Amino acid sequence: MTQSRVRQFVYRFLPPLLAIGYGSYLLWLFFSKKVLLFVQQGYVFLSLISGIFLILVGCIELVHFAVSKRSKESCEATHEGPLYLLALLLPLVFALVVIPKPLSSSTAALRSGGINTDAAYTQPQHKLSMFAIDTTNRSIIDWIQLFTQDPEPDRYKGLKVKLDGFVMEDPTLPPNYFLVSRFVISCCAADARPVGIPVRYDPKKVQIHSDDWVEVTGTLDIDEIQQDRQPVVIADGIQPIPVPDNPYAN
Amino acid sequence: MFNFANQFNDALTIFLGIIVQAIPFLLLGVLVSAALAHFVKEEYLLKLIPKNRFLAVLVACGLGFLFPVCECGNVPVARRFIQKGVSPAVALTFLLSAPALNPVVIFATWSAFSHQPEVLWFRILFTFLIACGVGLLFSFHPHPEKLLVNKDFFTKETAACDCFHGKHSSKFFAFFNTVLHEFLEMLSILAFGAFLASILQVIVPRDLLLIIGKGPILSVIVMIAFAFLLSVCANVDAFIALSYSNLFTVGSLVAFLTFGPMIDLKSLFLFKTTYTWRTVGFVALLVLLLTLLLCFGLNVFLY
Repeated sequence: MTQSRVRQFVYRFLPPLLAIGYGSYLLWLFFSKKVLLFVQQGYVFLSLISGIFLILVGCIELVHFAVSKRSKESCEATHEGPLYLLALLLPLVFALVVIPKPLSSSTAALRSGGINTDAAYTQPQHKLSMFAIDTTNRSIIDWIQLFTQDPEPDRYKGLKVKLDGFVMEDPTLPPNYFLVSRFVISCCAADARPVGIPVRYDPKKVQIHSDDWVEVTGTLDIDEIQQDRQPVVIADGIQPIPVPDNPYAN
Repeated sequence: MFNFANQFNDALTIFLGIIVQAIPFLLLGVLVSAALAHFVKEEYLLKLIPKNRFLAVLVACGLGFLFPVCECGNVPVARRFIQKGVSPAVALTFLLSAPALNPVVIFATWSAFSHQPEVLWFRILFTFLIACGVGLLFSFHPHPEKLLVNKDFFTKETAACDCFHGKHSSKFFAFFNTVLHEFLEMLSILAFGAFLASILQVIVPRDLLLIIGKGPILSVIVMIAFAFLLSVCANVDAFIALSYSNLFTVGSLVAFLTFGPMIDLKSLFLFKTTYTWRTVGFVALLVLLLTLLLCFGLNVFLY
């Protein structure tokens, strides 16, 4: 291609193609449910709408070129340089090349200062009752909300739990403990806060690694960790599970 | 527990999180701006804004209720105001106030802090005071056009350029052409801010902030730093502040909710599309000092 052709491409066709590219990416995120790795459930439909809209805007611009009979040269001097357009290609390329993953324990470790204190204020996922008979359908966040409402650990002793989350190894815990964790997000991945419940397990029987996704079944008991009596899960079983569609807790 | 692969991945997830979250709001802002450009006559807009600088600034503070755009979407709208003849100082007041003083954000803050309504009241009051104060100060600038990057940044697109969107193309195509170009321009800047924010988020330990963040003075400073780094949308920042409400002083929560929507990593770069670095720096510094002062006062004298 000659130089003027390249320029013409950059100035005329790159903008609508970028819009269509970003729009298609949003639609792909929506239909593959990958969008849940990035934003909170309530915002998912917005990405669908903006995806469709961006594709429309791009197509309208292309149609515009097709029906417009103006000279092809006059546009070059009048728009911003192509640098910002090229800069916009980068995120798109990254987004397509790197397979998106949920946030990991590395980030959780940076943010664990307020661990669990945050979660009490998020919306409960199920109606919680202190007197429920089946307690295995409660999620990590449900339990933490209960623990915050009523911190007396004796209330929870002996209750059955089934929790799925990722493994976070916490250096402040004894070696036969890990945290079964989730990130709570209120908007997007930028505001994720980790929550977790300590699990006591037998390292000889089960091998676990940070960031493995597991389903922990067991019973709540009370352990003294760092001079603090707190509810912990005594694990009966630790099963590896695939990363759920929505890896965060809202 | 730390490894580079994880950090890279998390940075990318945070980066795309901010982008995916911001795109709808950015689009909304760009749509409002393009509608203003193509369907609203200058006179209507200027009639809305009084001649008197005090009244003008007051009205600008309320414009967020007419144009409920958050800090991702308000820059194209403010830029369009300036192009339509609104003074840069009044547009600045709009830029600073609209992200927090609009029905969506007020409702979100109210629902998050219904148990602590003073947080909402002080957020509204402080945002109002700071936005008006800064706008008023800049309205005394002898050469307001010097505040701007390029006082005719739009003329080249709407008038001088006759390639596609000049007098020959229909309003329909012109409207979508503006939407497209403005969206891409804003997105590229947003992407840069989001990039910086995501890198910092996987490097800076938040514990550190929380540990030093005790006491009436330090907590305010920490929450301001936090708001700056986090760069989250004003629509949801109340829920994030909420998660720290038991750890932090009232003044620091108000500081987070007041400073964040006005100035953060991504909005600084967005401001730069309209105002010079000098102006942006000065505004950021002023907002910082005023927020510190007001929130220190709140902590020391009231709580």
